[in-house]
Amino acid sequence: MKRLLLIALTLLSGITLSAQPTGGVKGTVINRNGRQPVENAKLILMQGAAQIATATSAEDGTFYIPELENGMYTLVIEAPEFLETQVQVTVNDGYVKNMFNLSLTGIQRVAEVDDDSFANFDMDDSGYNDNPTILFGSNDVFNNIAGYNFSSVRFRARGYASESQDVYLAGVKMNDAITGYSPFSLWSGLNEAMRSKETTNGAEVSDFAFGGYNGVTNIFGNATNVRKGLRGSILTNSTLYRLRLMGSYATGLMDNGWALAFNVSARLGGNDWIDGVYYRSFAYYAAADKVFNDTHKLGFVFFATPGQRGAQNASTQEVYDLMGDNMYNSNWGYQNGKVRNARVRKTNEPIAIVKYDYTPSDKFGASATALYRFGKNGYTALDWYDAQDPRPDYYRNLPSYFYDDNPDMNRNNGIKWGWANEVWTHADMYPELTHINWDRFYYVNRIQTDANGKNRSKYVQEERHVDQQDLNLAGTFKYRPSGSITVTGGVNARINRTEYYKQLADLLGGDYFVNIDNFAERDFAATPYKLQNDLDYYIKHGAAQTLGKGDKYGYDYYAQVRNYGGWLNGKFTAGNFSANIGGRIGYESFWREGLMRKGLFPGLDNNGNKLVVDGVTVEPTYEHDGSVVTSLGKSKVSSFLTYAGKVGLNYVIGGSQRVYANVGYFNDAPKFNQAFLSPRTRNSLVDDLKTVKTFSSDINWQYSANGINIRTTAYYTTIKDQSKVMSAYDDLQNAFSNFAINGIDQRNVGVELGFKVPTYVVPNLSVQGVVAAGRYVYTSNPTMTQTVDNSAEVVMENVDVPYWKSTLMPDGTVKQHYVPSTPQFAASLGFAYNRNYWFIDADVEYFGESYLDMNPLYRTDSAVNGPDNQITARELEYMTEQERFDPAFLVNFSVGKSWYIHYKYQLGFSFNVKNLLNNKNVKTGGYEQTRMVDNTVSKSQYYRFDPKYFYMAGTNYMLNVYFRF
Amino acid sequence: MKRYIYILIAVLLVAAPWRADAAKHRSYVIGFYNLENLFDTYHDEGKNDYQFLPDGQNQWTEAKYAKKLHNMATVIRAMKEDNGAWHAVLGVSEIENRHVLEDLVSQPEIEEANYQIVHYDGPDRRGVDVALFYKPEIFKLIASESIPFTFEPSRIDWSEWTQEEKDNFRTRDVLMVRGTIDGEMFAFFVTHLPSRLGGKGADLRPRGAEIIYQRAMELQKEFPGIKIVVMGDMNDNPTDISMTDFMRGKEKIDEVTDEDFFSPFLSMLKAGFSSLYYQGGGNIYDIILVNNAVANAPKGTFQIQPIVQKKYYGRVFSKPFMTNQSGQYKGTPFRTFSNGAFVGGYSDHYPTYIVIKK
Amino acid sequence: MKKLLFAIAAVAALVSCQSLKEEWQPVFTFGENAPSEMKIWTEPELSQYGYSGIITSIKEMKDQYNKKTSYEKKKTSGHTILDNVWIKGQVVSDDKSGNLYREIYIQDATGGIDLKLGKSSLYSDYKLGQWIYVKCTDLCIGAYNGMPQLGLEPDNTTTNEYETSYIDSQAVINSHVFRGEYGTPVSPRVVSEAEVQSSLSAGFAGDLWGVLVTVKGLTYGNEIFALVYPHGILGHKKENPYNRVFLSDKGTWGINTWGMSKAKYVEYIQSGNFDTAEVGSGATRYGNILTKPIDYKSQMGNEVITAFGPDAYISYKDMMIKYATANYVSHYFKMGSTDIQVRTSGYAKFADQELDSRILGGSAVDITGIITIYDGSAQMSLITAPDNADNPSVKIN
Repeated sequence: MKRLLLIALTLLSGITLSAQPTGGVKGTVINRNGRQPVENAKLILMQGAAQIATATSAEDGTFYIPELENGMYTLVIEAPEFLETQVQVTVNDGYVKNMFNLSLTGIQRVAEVDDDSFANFDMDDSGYNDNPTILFGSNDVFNNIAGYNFSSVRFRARGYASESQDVYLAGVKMNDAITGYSPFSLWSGLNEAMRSKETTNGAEVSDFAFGGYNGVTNIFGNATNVRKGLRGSILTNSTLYRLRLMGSYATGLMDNGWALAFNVSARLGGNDWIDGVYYRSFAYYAAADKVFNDTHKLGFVFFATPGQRGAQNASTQEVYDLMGDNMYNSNWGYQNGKVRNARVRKTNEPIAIVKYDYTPSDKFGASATALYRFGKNGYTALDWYDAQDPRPDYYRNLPSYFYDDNPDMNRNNGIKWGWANEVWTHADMYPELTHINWDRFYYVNRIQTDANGKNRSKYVQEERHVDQQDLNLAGTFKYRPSGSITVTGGVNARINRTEYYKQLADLLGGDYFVNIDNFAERDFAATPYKLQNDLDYYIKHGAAQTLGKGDKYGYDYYAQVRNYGGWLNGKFTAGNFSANIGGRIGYESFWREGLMRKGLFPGLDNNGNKLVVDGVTVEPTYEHDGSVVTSLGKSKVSSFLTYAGKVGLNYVIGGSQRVYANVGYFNDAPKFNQAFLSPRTRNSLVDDLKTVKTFSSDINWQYSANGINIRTTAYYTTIKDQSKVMSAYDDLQNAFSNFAINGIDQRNVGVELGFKVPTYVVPNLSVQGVVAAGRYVYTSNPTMTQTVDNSAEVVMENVDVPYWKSTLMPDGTVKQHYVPSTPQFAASLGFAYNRNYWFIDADVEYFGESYLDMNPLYRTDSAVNGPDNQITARELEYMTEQERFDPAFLVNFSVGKSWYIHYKYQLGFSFNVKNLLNNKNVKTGGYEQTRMVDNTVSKSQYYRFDPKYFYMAGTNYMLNVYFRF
Repeated sequence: MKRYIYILIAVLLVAAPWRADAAKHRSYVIGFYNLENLFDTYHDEGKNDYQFLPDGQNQWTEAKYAKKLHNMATVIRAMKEDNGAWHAVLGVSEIENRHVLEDLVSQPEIEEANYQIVHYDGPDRRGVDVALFYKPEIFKLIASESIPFTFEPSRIDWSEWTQEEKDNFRTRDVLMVRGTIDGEMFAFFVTHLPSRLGGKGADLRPRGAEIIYQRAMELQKEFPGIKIVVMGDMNDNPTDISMTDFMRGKEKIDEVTDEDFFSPFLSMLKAGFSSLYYQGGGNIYDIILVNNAVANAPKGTFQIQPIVQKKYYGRVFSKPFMTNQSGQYKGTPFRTFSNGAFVGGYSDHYPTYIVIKK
Repeated sequence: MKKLLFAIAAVAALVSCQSLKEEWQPVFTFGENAPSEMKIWTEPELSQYGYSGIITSIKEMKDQYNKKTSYEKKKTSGHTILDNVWIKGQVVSDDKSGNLYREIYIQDATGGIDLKLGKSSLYSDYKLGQWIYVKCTDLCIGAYNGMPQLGLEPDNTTTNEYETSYIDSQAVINSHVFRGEYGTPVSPRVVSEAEVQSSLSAGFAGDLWGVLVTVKGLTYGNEIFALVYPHGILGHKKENPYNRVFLSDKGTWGINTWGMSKAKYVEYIQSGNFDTAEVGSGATRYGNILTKPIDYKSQMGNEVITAFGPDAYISYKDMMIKYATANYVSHYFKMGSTDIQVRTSGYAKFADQELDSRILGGSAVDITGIITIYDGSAQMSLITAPDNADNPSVKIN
């Protein structure tokens, strides 16, 4: 019967008249427990007190009440054994309201008040001791402003070397195994893929790494962290590259647990400021993450940035003044009318990563990463055999070589000065003399016909390779037994084999080149075996190898680096106070493995006795400790135990400020490239290499609340026992020599202040500024050991470099020498305005107290005393002086806007202009040359060669247009 | 082995009276949770819920909806595990309709709580409403009403607004539910005041608070001694004028008179607690206020308890699983969507609650 | 969505099309073999540098030396040629062996001239037998111990050791020295003792100087001449005799190699060959090299001693080893009654080659090289190694 009634009702509703109200309510009544339909439930539709309609639920629990006016109703559902339930229903715009399931709760399930329904609080146990988790944002106000505004001046935070900043990718430390340099170039052009990162400052410890004393950056790089959607951008930059096209697409976490991400880019073209510098670089990135469940996640990443980049060279102030252009670059020249750069970086170093994350509970999480980096890294340069130096700004081509006001310089030829000055002040009339003369290389190479009609190239282009095979395994874990204790730690292993070799890139019109050592030929012309870069080839074939394009020559050796380590850090929080204490231990070892037997240092043959070449037994040379100097095979293995400790204290005051301090002591191993006297020729190690000992401490105050962000820091750091290896032509010995300088200590002390404060006067406008004032000085006089490069003969043994730290002038004053290549005082002040997706920044910067990088040779007694070995006040001041750059004053401006187009598309641009005042004589760095003028008239003093400088570009802009679907 | 059993019985005997005594003291948890866009996968006629459809911008599929329901239920259960009891009363906001509430209360994690639902379809353009869950065995529902947003009568000057703007303005209604707990009359207000985005919204939140305050004073006259709890996503901090001036939310209990409300989360914000992070700063928008009858309750009736560090009368509930552990948003709530991508999190707000005890 | 994808594709196509390629490829570095060939000048083309079509003979050009002005005399400088003088000659010298340095000799029918270009490895640019045009205007013709040299005027000081200086400036070379067509390499001119004698008597104007010659029938004179400077820094001028050691007048001092590389020079010193050599020159003599500068305090005066610094306390012999460098050696040969010195640089590849025992034994030799005059006597510079496979410069018959 009921069923009939129901069918009638549904039929009735089917043929509604137009005048009838079309609204209605339908749904299904079910039992909350088990979700079974409830049949014959009584439904009463009320409006206020009046009953409008009634219905009963069918066998499958469904019900339908048609013909309802728009309005608000109360649907009361009653069924035996179930609680009465009221449902408010609103019928709008004449639609039938579908209520889907309406669940009823069984009466017997609702027991009287049972234990489960009231909390067990009583008066004494007053609940919880939660701590306020005050968030101080990983993006630090000081770094944000300083990072952007100071980048054009090569500012280094707290005066620390750039190698001291640890950079991690997916939990693996990426700093170069050989040099320690930061690895950003490995993924330049993949901005979108590498966007999400986590950084810490100074000696703070982070979750994924112990870190050093200059901050840690971990770039996530996996697919889930790439912003979802299809994005693209077109960018032009007047100092880097004409055009950058970039595109990225990421799916975000899909229902099937996969997340895919892709990023491609191309950077092409030259720039407005430095000729010869150009980009032709591409980048591709593909990553996939598979989230099995909340516990297991596996990630794959593969990317590479193959490409070419023309390099810039520094020149002397004389050349810049003559050319009237501080941006002169001596690396390029014309080849039948087209610009060609001799120094080009050609790299293709792909990286593959597999990362597994295991988070069984929110108390414990761990991850393991395997990262493999391989590929080729080449840097071209000119190489020449028994021919004039092809460099346009070679000192003998400059007017200063022919005439100098100082009569003691013994340069008094006005005629030659006149001609040279004419050339350099009318550079466009003499392009073949003020830039590299490529055409000359071709026609010189084409007339060196030898006996069998082949041309032996005088000038060639070599490509110096540093090809790394770098396997990294790293694991980290985070264990949180309770709210107040967090233990983090990790282990890592790195196996790196880097092959250093030269390759013949271009014969420049000739037919072949010969694999001999040009410099050795001048001193050992009479003993041909000494000239050989590859003596074994010479012994086997009776002559040096004639090289074709692409052949390896010059030197070929492996740098083998192994380091293993582990770290642990505990963080304890109690109320507003938290502390962390952690340690790191590690074992680092490296050795050289020569692949070519160098004629100068043949060592012994495989079974340990002397070699016989051209019938002559070859006497090997000997190291200090009597061992034979070898170039082929394995060198001695240097190994170091490294360790470090850190303590951090952090106190939160109120809701918005904290005081925190860190202290750290680090005992790190020296790097491969500071340990070998002349890795290109032999296995000789710098004797008694020491670890670098660093003590660093900082104390900070940070305030961050409703728009106001302030951070101020004071730091004190000492770095001891640093070492440096350099090679240079020594005019005093008239020989190309290797210098090992040990025992360089420095102290960096200073304060930092960063702030961004709303102006309150004008809404959305805030004042932002940064001050970095430091004093980075050398605190020790190192010792220097000099050996002649092609004989390993020790010329100077642990000689003191007395004028490195400072110079005691005769009148008793002390001239302090400073850590170079970064402004010790830098300040920026400006406005930041942002309001509904507009942002406008204008900043004024001031940089001061920048010093030039010192050359240790100029600070030795022999250089200061001069040929007559008599020291005079004038000589002392002249030779040991460290140049201080003039302060610089810059104005930067940037503006940007983004639009949302009906919630789906985003379009935006950002336009920034740097150095608005077009200030073109701001030195950003440079170095003192190592040569000295020694044939003076009075024979009482040496004179320095002019230093080389890098300058900052004038007004330059960057325009970036980006869009997202 | 026997020795242990004897000891066990002895302990139980000793503990028993203590337990009996506990029966005399009853405390109930009353809280609020902004569920961050709990939408179903069907289109509600007349509502702009297109973002949250399978082919919509967020690709809101059944799988994502199921994960969201599971996550919300997990948090509610986690609070029960911490407190040892289900919330007696739980206000929620940013829910689409009755259907999502029915699906939520039927989730295996919280089905046993038998939560009953009070919900009205509000006029909000995006189709989000507020609602209230209550345990039927504790709270006896008497009546409920959905108070619409009006501009008058008000002491706020609306001269900047044209009549047309006032008519076109749509926002969530305020839900008021009245009933009794253990015989004591209670009224619960659940609200989701207009958001801060968009220019002239500065006066809208004070007006929302004024509406609640006026209705509450009427209830205090109509039912003397009634205990009133106001909760919701205020889009304002307890220090803002909507809370201090219009709700007369006082920081200290002894400052509270019958015309005022006690605002436990005011001192908690100053101490650094946060229920959500906006532009890098900490805020508490998920505010609960109680009237004098709850703050300085007469002897033997339900009174609000200090439950954190022996001095704070409210609690912001957060656990590591609902907090971002790494990346640039480290330490903030692990939300459902980040930068437009579904990341399978919980909500951009943490739940807040108070405890009343008799 | 499709519209936008299409726009991106258009931009990408634009990027790759040729005309815009230049903008994205302003610089290249690999390949692109240049078609450039060495510029071979023809006489008509030289008019742009003032060539009026008249070639002056090298002999006639040397006469310009007599036009020296009083200013130039006071400045101990050669004569900077003002007239429009152009010479044309074939390259007869080659610095490949290292015996000649920073200079080339060119020769025409009337004689040869030493062109002091100042650049190293000149054989890379100038081939034997190649015709070279030289615009002598602005250049300076001077005499070095009687030998005519063409370069630029020397420093404007009054104590110049050389009347001309190396040209050095590539701008001057590019506008004054022009490479002409390749000619067949000049064969050496066989000269008799009489011709040598007549050039010697003609002094500066001798027509043999700078010419590639072969002299026949010479016998070894069992005598050498070498001048070395013990302290490598204290300067080589005549005015400071305390830093000069003459190895002369006493036979061969044990030197049996054409020249002395640094290693060979040290070998000779250590073998004691030079122990009896005297320090000093001309009238002032300070005793043999075993002595120390401090020993001659009375004669040398204090400021000289201070000039040696710490080296004042070590013997000249030790100083010679400390500051050892490669050194020239001149071997005396007899051509009839005329002495002919064969002078070889220590940097020559064949410097350490020993004189053939037959030469020492007195057998006659024919020597080919560039003949020059030095202080009134004839000198020969070998262009190729004495025993060079293709054309040996010293033939023993």
